[in-house]
Amino acid sequence: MLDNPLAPHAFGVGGWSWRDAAHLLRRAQYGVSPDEIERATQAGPVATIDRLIRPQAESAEFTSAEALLRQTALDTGSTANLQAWWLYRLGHSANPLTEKMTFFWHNLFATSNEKVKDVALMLAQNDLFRAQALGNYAGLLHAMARDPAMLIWLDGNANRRRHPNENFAREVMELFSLGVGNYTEKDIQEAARGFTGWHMREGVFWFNASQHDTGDKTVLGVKGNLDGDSVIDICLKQAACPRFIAMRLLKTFVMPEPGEAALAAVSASIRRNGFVMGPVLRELLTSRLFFSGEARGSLIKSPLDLVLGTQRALVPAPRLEPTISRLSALGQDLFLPPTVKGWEGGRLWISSTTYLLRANFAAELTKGDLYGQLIDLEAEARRHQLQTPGEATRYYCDLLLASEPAQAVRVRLEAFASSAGSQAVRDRGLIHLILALPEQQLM
Amino acid sequence: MAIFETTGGEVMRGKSAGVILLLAGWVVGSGRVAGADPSDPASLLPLGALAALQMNNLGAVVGRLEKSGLVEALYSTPQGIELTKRPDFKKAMAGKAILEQQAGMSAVEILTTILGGQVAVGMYPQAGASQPEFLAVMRVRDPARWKQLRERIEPFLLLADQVMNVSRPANGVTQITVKNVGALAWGDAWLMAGTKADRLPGVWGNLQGVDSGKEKEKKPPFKSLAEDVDYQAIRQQLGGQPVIGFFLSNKVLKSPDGKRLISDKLDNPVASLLLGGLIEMVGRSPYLGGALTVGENDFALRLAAPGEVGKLDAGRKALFPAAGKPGTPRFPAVPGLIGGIAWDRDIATWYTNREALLESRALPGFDQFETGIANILPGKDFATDVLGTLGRGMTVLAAPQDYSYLDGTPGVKLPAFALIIDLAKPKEGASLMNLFLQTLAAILNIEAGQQGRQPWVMTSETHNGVQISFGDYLQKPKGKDLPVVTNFTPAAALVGNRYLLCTSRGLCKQLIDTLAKPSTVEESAATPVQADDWAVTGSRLADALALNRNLLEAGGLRNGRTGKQAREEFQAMEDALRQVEKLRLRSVLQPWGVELRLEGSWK
Repeated sequence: MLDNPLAPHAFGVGGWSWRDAAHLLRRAQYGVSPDEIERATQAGPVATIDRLIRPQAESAEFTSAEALLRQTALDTGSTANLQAWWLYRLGHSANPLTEKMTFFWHNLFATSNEKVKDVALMLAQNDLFRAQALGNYAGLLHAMARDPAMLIWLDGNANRRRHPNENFAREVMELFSLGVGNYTEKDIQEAARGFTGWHMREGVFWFNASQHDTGDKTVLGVKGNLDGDSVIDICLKQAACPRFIAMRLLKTFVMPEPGEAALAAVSASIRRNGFVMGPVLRELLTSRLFFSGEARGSLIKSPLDLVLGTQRALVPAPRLEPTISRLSALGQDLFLPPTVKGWEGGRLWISSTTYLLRANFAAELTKGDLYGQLIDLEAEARRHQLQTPGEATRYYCDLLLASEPAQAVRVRLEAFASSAGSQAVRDRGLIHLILALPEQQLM
Repeated sequence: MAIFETTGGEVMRGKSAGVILLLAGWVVGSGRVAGADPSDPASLLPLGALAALQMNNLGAVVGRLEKSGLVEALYSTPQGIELTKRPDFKKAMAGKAILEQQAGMSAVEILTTILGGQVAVGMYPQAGASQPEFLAVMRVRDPARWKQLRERIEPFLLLADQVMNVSRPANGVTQITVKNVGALAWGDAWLMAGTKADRLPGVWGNLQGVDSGKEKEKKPPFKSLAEDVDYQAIRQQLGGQPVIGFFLSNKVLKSPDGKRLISDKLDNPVASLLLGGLIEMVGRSPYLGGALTVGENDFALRLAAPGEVGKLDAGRKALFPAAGKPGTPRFPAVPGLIGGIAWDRDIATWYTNREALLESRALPGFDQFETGIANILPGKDFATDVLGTLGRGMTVLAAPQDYSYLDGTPGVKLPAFALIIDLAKPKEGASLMNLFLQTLAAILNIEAGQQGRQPWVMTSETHNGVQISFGDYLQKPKGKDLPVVTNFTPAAALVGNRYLLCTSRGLCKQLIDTLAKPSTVEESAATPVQADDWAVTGSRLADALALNRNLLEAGGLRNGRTGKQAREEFQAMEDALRQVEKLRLRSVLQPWGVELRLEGSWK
């Protein structure tokens, strides 16, 4: 157990290594390419985390392509085109941590276009998540209470003075800020009264004064003529609130079952930074906890991590439509979370069906060009001087796996590499085998 | 004149002068004995071919295409770009460069010199073997340049004497035999290759005789494919001297025990309705033929399946125009017509005979369809009450959209579409169609309400004396990215016996005006009787696609292209489409059978 889990990690004798850089990037973005690891290794940890957290200018190519895909989603009103737009951003943005945090908020404030049925509103909500990705959670929580997509999703217009609808108030406490056990049913009923009249009209938030309950309410021990903003402020003041967010951050970026010390430390950091996520993440992603052996290779990859991550390493120009289909089959349809709880993830990602589909993804990726052309393996071998089967095995294991495979596994991989035909065929087969290893499901 | 009407019915436009001359040449020549006609490439091949392909003056066509912008435009399309990236293509280009270097002339020049004459390829049955035997014979156009080319190539044959046997079996003839592969032979004005070496001497013996006029009498009588009765028949039927022609015996479409390889039942109802008649004609024909003619700016590819439509069973006969009837309706000449499809079918007869035409596994789908349609047309029997009111003609067409009913434009800009149905019982048919339209609008309005969109309000107006029933919005939808559904304001009208169902009121009015003019729908005496007619104008299709440029470029991005690649690919596709003036595919009834005709013209 670490006494101060968020203390900056002291890199050992060898200093900041290729493996350290790969670990940071795998967690801070969806997958990592060899060039990115190389660049981060050269730049060092401070510059790398700085680059991840400070807004980086997007390329002209990205800006124009992103605008085209965004407009197409709006023009067609198609969820698939909206998914394609975001996948493009996730894979190509110069601000990958911002995109990963945008998904973090999408998963926290899980809203589905299945019910909203309005691509423009879903896109506006996503933009809001992005604008506040590394910004202030408190401001984002307030904004969510007025977000048109959220108002449709949690029946804002049905929340009326004489018939309060508890959907939003319940989720604010249970899923957005405090977690189960930190409020009572009575708190929800009273909080719902505070949100009465918070409606949507003509596609924008509208305070319907005639439907707002102006009477006194008591929420979490605070009494008064409370409105929605007051209810949110009361939630934010609860000790449970930063702990709730801290747990989500730790499970997303560090480990599946963080201990009390880690939880307390991150919670304190959130409170100390006034719910602003950038400094919290800077602290977390450079901490002893983050680089500890316990953390490395401990998270089960989500479909996004698995599919986009593998493509980032191996497919320079991925095809988005088959990628969307594969993500869907693996249970992660962007903009269509399964429930208001979002994607719970962790061990739930792996079942007898999805494991087979994950293995099929590895086969499809390496055997054909369904997801796009694989990197030029001959050029890669020349560039990294992968002359022997052992060198090729080591290189691709390091690139694709978060942890070293067992010695017996490595021996068998090398045996395959030795018996395969040409270098390109050898490396293609080797990559397929590595992607099919249980270790590939972890990061 | 409607934009897709043809002036003479047999060829596309005045620009087809070259094709007409070629046709005339062959038609005039067709009275001669085919076997003795040196202008017929079939005279190069021995009798007994199961299939034969022949080319005339191909070099000139290749040269013309090379000079036109079409080839360049095609290479710039996404498919063209993909092709140029393929290793096989790169190897072929490298081979071409070596050949050009060796020969000292460009590939186009070589084509003009060698293939520019006549080429015939035959496929023959091979006794005791399942694989057929192939023979290709070329008649050189320019013997002097052919000689030059041979003089450059022949010395290099010595380098390969380990793998092939070079001999000079007769005066002026060189033969190369490659064991287990075949043989190649050439003379002063011809070149031939075959998978069986022992067939070659008879052929070059005939050629040397014919060409020189000296040795002919010494050789055994050479029976050529041109003397084949079926071949002569198809040549009469298709006429002309095509750039490429082919002949296919129906033996190829049969199994060794003589059974038809083409099934007499299909498993897809749409395929059966669209293609069932043609497929059956192909299955029954004793032989098939094809001819490609190319003019300065146009081409026509004609495929012939001889046979008697009248002998087909009732279900398939219903897929062709009835005797004495004019066939497909002409396309109404609405302004900016992009393209259309017209059919002539007796759908009711086809429908009631479906069990004889379709595999049993396709039949339950009809029951599901009838159950579904009963929700929209309650209390009606589809086969009797719906199909019974229909006539034979049906047209679908696309034209530019009019967004005057919007305060903005939809995000996806679709053309306006119209379905024109000829009704056998106009009054009953129109009532039924109106019931269908009203019920459909009501169903779609429920969905619009669920999605927070404005519903259509069904109303009517009179235009040019014709009542139009249409759906409209109470308030003009406003915005620049309006939903796809705002492309549609359904409108319907009955003009004479033709029921119009349009996605836009504007197009409905244009059709009423157009159909009111007798000249636009009059049948021309020279117009062939058609069962199907598909036509599109390239530049107008390009205009329609250009309205959605962003969407199509985004499609490229989703397919892994960069923004620049996606832009370039769209531009190339648009340029290629703008080069294409018109494309038309139709099936035509002939006294001897059925012909499928693909015609196109470019700028």
